[in-house]
Amino acid sequence: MKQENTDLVLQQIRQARVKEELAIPIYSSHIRQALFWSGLPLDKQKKIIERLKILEYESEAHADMLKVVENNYLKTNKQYVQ
Amino acid sequence: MKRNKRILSLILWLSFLGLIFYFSVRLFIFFSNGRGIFNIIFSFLLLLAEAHSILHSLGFLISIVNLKKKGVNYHRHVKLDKNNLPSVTILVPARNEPIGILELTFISIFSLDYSNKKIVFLDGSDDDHFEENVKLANKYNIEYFRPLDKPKSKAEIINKYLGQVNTKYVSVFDADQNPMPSFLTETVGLAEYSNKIGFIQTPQLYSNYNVSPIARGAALQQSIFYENVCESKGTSDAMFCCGTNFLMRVEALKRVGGFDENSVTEDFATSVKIHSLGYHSVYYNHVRVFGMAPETLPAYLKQQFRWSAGSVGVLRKLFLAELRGELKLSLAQRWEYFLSATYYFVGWSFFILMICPALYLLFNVPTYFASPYLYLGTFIPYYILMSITFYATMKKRNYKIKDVFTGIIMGSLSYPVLIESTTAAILNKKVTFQITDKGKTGHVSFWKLWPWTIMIVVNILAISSGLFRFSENPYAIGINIFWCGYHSVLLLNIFRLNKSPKIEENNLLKHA
Repeated sequence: MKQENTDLVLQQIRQARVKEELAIPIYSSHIRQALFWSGLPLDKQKKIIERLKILEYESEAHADMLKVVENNYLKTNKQYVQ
Repeated sequence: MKRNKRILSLILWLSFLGLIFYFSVRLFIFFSNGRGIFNIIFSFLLLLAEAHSILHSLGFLISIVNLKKKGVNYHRHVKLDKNNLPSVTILVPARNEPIGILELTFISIFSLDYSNKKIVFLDGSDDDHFEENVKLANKYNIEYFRPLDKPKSKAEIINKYLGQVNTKYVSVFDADQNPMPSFLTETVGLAEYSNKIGFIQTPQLYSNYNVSPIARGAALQQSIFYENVCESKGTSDAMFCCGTNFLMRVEALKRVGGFDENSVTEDFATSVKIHSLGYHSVYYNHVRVFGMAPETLPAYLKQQFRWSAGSVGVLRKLFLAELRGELKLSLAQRWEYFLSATYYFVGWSFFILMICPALYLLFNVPTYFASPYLYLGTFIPYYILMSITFYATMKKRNYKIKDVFTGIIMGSLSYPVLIESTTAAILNKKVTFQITDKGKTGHVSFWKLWPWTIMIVVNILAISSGLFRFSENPYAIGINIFWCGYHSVLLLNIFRLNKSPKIEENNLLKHA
């Protein structure tokens, strides 16, 4: 049971890391490009791009945090990790 | 705001009247036209070309009325229980795709906010891709499927795997499509509303529009299609599956025997079968998936060739099924499928509309062109009103006129390819499209652009001939010189667009 739980937690941490580290930049880049179709004035587009950059930066920080969580979890549950 | 709406409504109804008036006059002129075999042939061809254009203008006007009247139908959805989500299999069929592009797609699909999903990579690639593709699938915990016999089509590889699908829904993404996290939660919520919903189609938005003028034009064309046209099809329960970015009820797909492997547009052909079984389709006009437009002229023409050959091939099948009484579609669905399947005859239509002014200036055929007053009194009001309606509708959705025009140029330039593909489809011949020299995929060699070049030369000759005899009938000759000039400018764009795209470092690939 403990083994299964450990796998599940690790899988979820890993999924969250992939999202923060790899998926967010993909979404962000597509949304930046898609602003072209929005019809919004250029100054508003610029503001959105700035906010997107902030979110991307935060995602990087989240990814780092998740890496620490993953390492700590692995250390404390060494006996259950295959 | 209300005033603008009223003005648009007025223009819409005037467009209807203009269209009916123009077509009535055209029919009258045709039957009372001059003699001579060439004259009769070209007058008839011109009438057919104009009838095609009028038919699709009518379809467009009806779609706007439909949307004004009914609105869109995707507001009915079910709130999903996160602990008891319906199961979904996500299929990613691919053939020799660059590993970087595939990885972006896998990351996006892996990150979908939906726990009850299974992702399967359907690999139809050559042997040299095998190792790296397996490695990539393992990296993202994706099931890898590679049939023993190399599949000839996307439909074939999906069908080969379909027997193993035991989930309630299936979702398909092309190798270059990146879904946003909420794709499944939203589409499954819609599909759960009724078990008679066969599939949910979402739009695709090309986000690489700035890579090349071709990508930009293709992206614009695509966006125009996914706005009014698809929304209207949605309201008539006639939205067809576009092959990617959709969610389909597995039961419906299995009942029709999987995707139609005899059609190059398997999605379109399969949709007809699903609708015929009484299932509904929903068009969910929210961009939840981003994709990549063709970036080069050969890639764009190849895409157009495939779509047109497939659509016209389905038209032939629809016609035969109708004769056998097997087509169980509503009137609205019949109309929408007929419009979609006949759209690609636009290549013929454009060619005839383009050649006739030149023929008139060179050989005085068809003689109808000698009566500019009738032309000015009927065609010009119809053309202006239709253009205003079209541009006003597009402007309402934030498109710029210049951009819409770019889409129109791209559509017009495909005419030789559309003629070839639709002819092959009518004759039920399997033709593969090859326009690039071996080993070169970025652009088409000058000599292979002969259909466009010859047409430009013909138009220039016609303009010169018209200028020489301008005084004979200044109005008629003047108008036809204008059209020849317009067509020449339009066609010259082929050389501007026939460039290899700028190879820029792709930020997305850098991250992956």
